[in-house]
Amino acid sequence: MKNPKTFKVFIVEDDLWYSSMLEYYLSLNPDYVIQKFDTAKSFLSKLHEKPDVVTLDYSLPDMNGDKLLKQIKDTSPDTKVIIISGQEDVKVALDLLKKGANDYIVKDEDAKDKLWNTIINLRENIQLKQEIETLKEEVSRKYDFGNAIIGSSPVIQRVFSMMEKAARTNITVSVTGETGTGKELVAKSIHYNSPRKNLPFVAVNLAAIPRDLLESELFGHEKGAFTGAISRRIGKFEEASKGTLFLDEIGEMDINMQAKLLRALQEKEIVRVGSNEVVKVDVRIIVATHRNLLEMVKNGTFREDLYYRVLGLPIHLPALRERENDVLIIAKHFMDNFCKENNLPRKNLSTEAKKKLMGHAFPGNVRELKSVIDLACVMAEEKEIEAEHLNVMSQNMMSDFMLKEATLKEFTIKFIQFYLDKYNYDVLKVARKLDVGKSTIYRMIQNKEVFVNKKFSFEASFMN
Amino acid sequence: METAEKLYDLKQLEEIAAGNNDFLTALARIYLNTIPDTSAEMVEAAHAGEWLKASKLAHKLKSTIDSLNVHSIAKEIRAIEVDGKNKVNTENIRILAVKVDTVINKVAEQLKKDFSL
Repeated sequence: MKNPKTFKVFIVEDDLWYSSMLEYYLSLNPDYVIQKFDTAKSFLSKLHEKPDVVTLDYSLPDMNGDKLLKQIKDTSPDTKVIIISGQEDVKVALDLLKKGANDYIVKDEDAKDKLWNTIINLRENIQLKQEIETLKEEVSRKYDFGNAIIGSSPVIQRVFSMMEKAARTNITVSVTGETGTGKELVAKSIHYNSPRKNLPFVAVNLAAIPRDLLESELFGHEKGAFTGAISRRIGKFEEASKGTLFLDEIGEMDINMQAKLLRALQEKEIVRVGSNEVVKVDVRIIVATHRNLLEMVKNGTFREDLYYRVLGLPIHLPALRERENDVLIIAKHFMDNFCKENNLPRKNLSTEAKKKLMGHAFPGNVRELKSVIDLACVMAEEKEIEAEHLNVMSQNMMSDFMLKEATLKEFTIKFIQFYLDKYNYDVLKVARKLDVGKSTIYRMIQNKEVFVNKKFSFEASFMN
Repeated sequence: METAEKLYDLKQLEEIAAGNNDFLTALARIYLNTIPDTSAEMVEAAHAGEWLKASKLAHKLKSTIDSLNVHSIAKEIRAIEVDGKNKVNTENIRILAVKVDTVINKVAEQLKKDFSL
């Protein structure tokens, strides 16, 4: 593996005097590894070593600069080329720059300094590109199907299968599901596993943009197109050029804007606000919504033609409560991540905590689960997260209860647990509120059907 | 005895060398081993009417002459390069080539003395 600190420089110069001068000067930087060649032939025989930079004399005895430059670009396209010449011919210089040379330096008294600075700049440029490649690989790994969406339930396995199909082609994808189910994560995963992964992924939350600014946001605008348009701005479609455009909350788009979006998707072209010029666009579209678009079509609030245009490959993300044991798998993942990021020792869930999680409807889905787990990691002093650390109180008890189908006994347990959590495990109070015998509740506590604070004491409660 | 005027200076090279006299000596050696021969070739080419060749050789000598600040032939070497390429003022090229060659050899003598080579 190449030492990231060393930088390979080849000097190709038939003038021994000049090449010796350059070699000495450049070697003042200890990171540079320098090799000198006095003919094109000797240099070409070593080009397979892929130097980072080549300084090239334009007038070599055995090959002219144009031809040699072309050979370098064909064989080692990443190698940067600096032409160093005694010729002060602007035409020649421009021509070489057009053909791929990175700089043209005239052999005058400033040449060595210009060369020094040019190499520094080129090196920084190379390092930045390498960092970008590394970051891209990291992002790719992060959004690998197995890493991005976690779960083993049959419903989520079906989602994985659809995502793999989507990633293989450019088909439009529509992702539906309740809030917090991971729609954007699915969109990113598809993009970073597709042939477009090295191209932009641009996400737009259509619900977050004021209506009168949406057209400009998506299609861009020209300078002066409206008050406040002080310069030309490219829109999200152009920003996502050749990549993926993710339109989140597409159900929030008003009917007028839907017509404009439809045209852009059909014709694959946009017109910036305030312009007459048509701009071709090549983007892969992924849309998402928590709404029922078909219902909206029936109600007349969503265009039928746009519906069928964006439907593409539909992927429905199941609610967390439909994913069986995935709750625990995802909870563990969040726990491990939180502890790692916050330098905490690893934690695990007690049996009671697991049951509590499995019993909760999670109307906020995975997002809510993450919030609950992060807080639980903070609240739990010991290695084990207990049920009391899980803050799964919900705003609307009835709708949460009705979200998940259950037996009467399961509903009863949920009710009683809810009231115990609410009234700080005061069994007598809860029994009064629900008009049940306190012994019923005590029995449920003893049978571990409901859970109470560790500090709860049977003896103390009997004395009340 | 008259002291001969120094035809070159090391200002540019001393800046690069940053106190490394071995480097300067190495460069002086390279000069002695290569530059007078190239200059002689240029004179021969000029006498033989090979103007393009004379131009290329002048081009080759130019950077060394500039690095050593040999001001007395800076214009002349450029004239040989340009006129030789365009094949104009050819009689003058012959004269200039001889002048350049004389100075180059004098510089060689001075370098030999100054660096004890």
